[in-house]
Amino acid sequence: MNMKKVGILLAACGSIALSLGVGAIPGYAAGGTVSGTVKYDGTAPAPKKVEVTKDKEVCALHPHVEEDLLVDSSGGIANAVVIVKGAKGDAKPGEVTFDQKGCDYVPHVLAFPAGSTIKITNSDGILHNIHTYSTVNPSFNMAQPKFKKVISQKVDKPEVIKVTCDAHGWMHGWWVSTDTPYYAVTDDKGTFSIKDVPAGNYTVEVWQEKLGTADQKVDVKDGGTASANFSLKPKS
Amino acid sequence: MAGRPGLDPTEEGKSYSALFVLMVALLLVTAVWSIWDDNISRRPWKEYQVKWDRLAYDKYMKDSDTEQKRLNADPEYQKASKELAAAEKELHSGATAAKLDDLHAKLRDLGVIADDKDQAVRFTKSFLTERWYDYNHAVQAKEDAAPYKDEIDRLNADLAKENLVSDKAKADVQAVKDQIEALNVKVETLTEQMKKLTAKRDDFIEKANSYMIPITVGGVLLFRYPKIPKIQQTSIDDFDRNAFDQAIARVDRCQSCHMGADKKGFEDAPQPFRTHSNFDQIILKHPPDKLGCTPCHDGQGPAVSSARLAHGEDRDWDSPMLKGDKMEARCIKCHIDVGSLHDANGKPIAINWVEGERMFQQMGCAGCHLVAGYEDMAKIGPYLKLASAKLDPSWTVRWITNPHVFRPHTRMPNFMFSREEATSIAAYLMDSSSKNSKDWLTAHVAPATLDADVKNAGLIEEGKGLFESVGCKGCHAIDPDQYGSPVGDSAKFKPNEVRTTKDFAPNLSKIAEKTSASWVYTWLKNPRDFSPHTAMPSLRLTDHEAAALTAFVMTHGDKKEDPGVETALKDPEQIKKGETLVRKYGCFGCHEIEGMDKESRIGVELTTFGSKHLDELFFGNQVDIPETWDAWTFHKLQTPRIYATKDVEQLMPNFDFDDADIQNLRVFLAGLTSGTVQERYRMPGSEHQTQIVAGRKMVNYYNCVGCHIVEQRGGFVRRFYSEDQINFAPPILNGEGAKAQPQWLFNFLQGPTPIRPWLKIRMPTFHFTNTEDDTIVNYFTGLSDVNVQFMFINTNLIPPAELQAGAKLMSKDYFNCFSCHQQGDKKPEGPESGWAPDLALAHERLNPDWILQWIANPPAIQPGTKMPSFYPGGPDDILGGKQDEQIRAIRDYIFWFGTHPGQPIPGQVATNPVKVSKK
Repeated sequence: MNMKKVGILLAACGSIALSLGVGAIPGYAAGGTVSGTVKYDGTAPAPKKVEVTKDKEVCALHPHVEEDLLVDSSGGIANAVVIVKGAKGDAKPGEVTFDQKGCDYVPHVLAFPAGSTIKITNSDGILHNIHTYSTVNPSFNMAQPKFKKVISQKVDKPEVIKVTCDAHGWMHGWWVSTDTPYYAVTDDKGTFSIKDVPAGNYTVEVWQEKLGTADQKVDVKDGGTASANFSLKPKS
Repeated sequence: MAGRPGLDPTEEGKSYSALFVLMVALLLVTAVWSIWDDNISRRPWKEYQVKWDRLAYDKYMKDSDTEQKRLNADPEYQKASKELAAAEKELHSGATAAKLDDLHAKLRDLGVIADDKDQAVRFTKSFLTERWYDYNHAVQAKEDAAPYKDEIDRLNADLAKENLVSDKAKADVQAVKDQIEALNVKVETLTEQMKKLTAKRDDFIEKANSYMIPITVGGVLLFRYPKIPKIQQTSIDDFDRNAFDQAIARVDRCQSCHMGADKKGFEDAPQPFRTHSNFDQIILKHPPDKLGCTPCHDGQGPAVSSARLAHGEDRDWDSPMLKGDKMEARCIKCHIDVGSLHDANGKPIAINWVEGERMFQQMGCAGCHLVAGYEDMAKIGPYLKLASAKLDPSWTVRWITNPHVFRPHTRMPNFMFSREEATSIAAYLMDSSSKNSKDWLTAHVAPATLDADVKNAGLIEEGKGLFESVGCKGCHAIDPDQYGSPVGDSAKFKPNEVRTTKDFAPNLSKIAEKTSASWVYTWLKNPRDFSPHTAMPSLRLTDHEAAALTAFVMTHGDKKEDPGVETALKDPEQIKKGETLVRKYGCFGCHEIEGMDKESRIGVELTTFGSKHLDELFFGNQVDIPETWDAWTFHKLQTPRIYATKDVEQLMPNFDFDDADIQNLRVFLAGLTSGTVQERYRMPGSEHQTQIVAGRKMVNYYNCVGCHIVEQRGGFVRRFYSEDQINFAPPILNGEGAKAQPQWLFNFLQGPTPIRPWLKIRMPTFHFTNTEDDTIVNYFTGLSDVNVQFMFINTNLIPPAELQAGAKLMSKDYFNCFSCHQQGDKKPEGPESGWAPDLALAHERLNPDWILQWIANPPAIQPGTKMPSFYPGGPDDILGGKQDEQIRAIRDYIFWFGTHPGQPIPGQVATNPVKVSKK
């Protein structure tokens, strides 16, 4: 083997190493954004009023409505969960807060990567209980009396979990444990934005507790914004 | 040539050598054939054993390879093997090896010297013995012993010297040995350590070697040969007893082919080598080397000449091998309570037998067939001593002709009567009950308003609401296509599934065709007033409720009068014919009929039906049905008169069973066998088991499972409750024996009092006798295996500090128990669907120990309960945050306020006294 060949080989190795190194430099933002709106197809029914029948001194401080379908004037649906399916990324399970405030769950829909720990807080200072209806994760039913400020509960596997309070029949919320870090919950106007999604072709799925799921394909490019707008119909 | 006289020269000249050779050849062939036949063709098990040896060898070698791979990846093993190799290398090379050789040479030389010295010592000892003999002899012979004494002294002095020398030589040898040992010790320690690490692998290799025996020369494997096949057998001398109470020996050779049945790890192997299913429950608890196989499986234990014969699949063998579900039929031989046998996952082991037994009980088979253990079953059919007070005459004739037309899922079988015969039977039933009916009708007059009530649309609607809510649907369906509570296999029961099992209670979709509004009204008010043994309970309906329910159910069906029936039923000729038919077909097996209280069962006794030989089963002209017990029984249950011929009449009616139900019934029938099993092989029956079996009969008779889940089965009414309304369904009774106080349960069953007053469905009053009530209470305590029933609490002895702690824990600022639980007259806030039982009743209802377990972990006792877990995580500022003490304080406070209604806690001023309603 002559020296020239060795030299080329070394140079090649060096450049590969360099390029890998550049990729790992922090702050270099690869990937694009998926954003859009989830809208209601048709005229949305006005949310039903919930009659507070218990612990009125705490629960009746503000009026309650059924939160299973909240649509704003422009037709945007709040509390829908949008997930970029199959987008690979290091899921960063962390700690998320789920509060019981005025006998409502705040947020009504809580999304988080599987493996996260839910910090369940009770701002009301009355007895609530957190009863989860899960099948993949272990279900539990923990009381949270006034003195118990925080209950921490880890959710290990991806699942959509219904949460209720047996002491206050109208209270129900949802935990959406995802298998990807690329998810969002729509705001009051029904809009969402998911950043830093690695470039690629994906299926974006939306889930809404009353209307079910819908999906569409998107093509995410580095630095670009792919839009995904959904229009959900009531289940027939 | 002149021969000796008498000799036939022609004969002498003949040669027999060809014949001789032929005979020898024949003899040889027969000898070879007989050896071949005896050793090969009649011993098919040998082939299986050779296959098995190969299979087991392969498996263990594979296991050993897997283990070796795991070891190779194990850092500890890597380290140990490196160290061992290094130590061995060091020992066997260089200076150490030379030194070791030297030491061994030295050891050899010193060994010779030590032996020499030792020999000298032993010689001297022998001389001493000899001299002592001489000395003693001289003394006794009165000769001069002195020279011997001198000699002894001299030898003793020598021995002392020689001992010193010998000990020195031995010490020298030991010193060299110690030096060698010191050199070897490292390798030895490491080898020991290695052995521990590789124990599992070595065990696999050892097992593999036991199946294919290795021949090695100098550590090199030459070849392996399989073990010589050998019959494997278990002899059980005294398992069965015959009719003369003599022991019958069994010899089971099944393991000669089924080599892997009692070994774990062959779960996926092909038969006959597979590991036995349910290994932990069956094999570990019924070791085949003590019990063999045929006590559970049947078959021809000693036969080894073919699989067919070994499995007893021969017309002449009485007990062919039980296959599939039928195996469950043998549990009953040794276990009293088969229903409670569960596998490792809590699934019933003999579920098909259990279902079959229930079918047998609920279908009233014991009404016609005597079976030991089921002699005292109550009659399952309606009470006919008051038939004419209840039944529409035209309907009665149509019903008797074929009940399945009117109600396809009825338990009543079809006797295939002609209309003429049905008319006769109806005539007899009406006539025989006419006097009773007249008296009864005089004493039970429905309200005059009833006629108007049944036409009142508002009342009908109200009745519909009651029908939906008070509990009728626990047993009855009212939609023609709906099923009520099922008799048969319920594992697959789904709300709208079309099945052909039987309904426990009548479908009421055409009830008005059958009876009158006034009868329905009086019946609903108190069923036992009409029929003293009915399973139908009283729902404690008010007159208004009874009228409303009557109005609703009477909108179902219309009267259909067949002309001429009324007259025909009064014909004395018909009545007489009817009586004959009732006696012939044994209607009194299921019904109480006036004047027929003492009739005996008309069917054959079935106590040993499972042992019936084929020769005892009459196949009639049915040549297409396979000649097996299984096929005979299946077809008998499916088409009961299938084996009838011109000369052999058969009376058994057609039940129109679902195939699955027939199979389960057949499993139960297969368990009815002759012969008893020796006491020592039987599972000792505890009192609990006897109580459970007795209680289960009650549960089957009264169909508790229509509403409640008992022993993981039933709660059929729950299908009418949506998920968020399930709190309104009747309680689940799994574990009830551990939960409720027996005295309370007894009283509750006598006269139910509301525990959950918000429930619309009612626990009915069954009018149990004391014995029946005790049986049910014992059934629940038996199921929960409760021995010390419960502890008693004198609430006056509870320290005030504990009561205060309990009250504080239950208060609004802490657990806020009364957010959901009723507390005497004080109802919780919010809708009733969120309410929980009255805690003021707990002190007389619940087992104090159970409350402790319940508060500690509710879902462990009742999965999915709405009661949340408060622990772990009690408050730190009460009772030092100790969980056990807090739970006890809650329990004690609950008992205290139940027994001290309206009283303030000692040491505290009452701010909000608890009121308890008095019943």
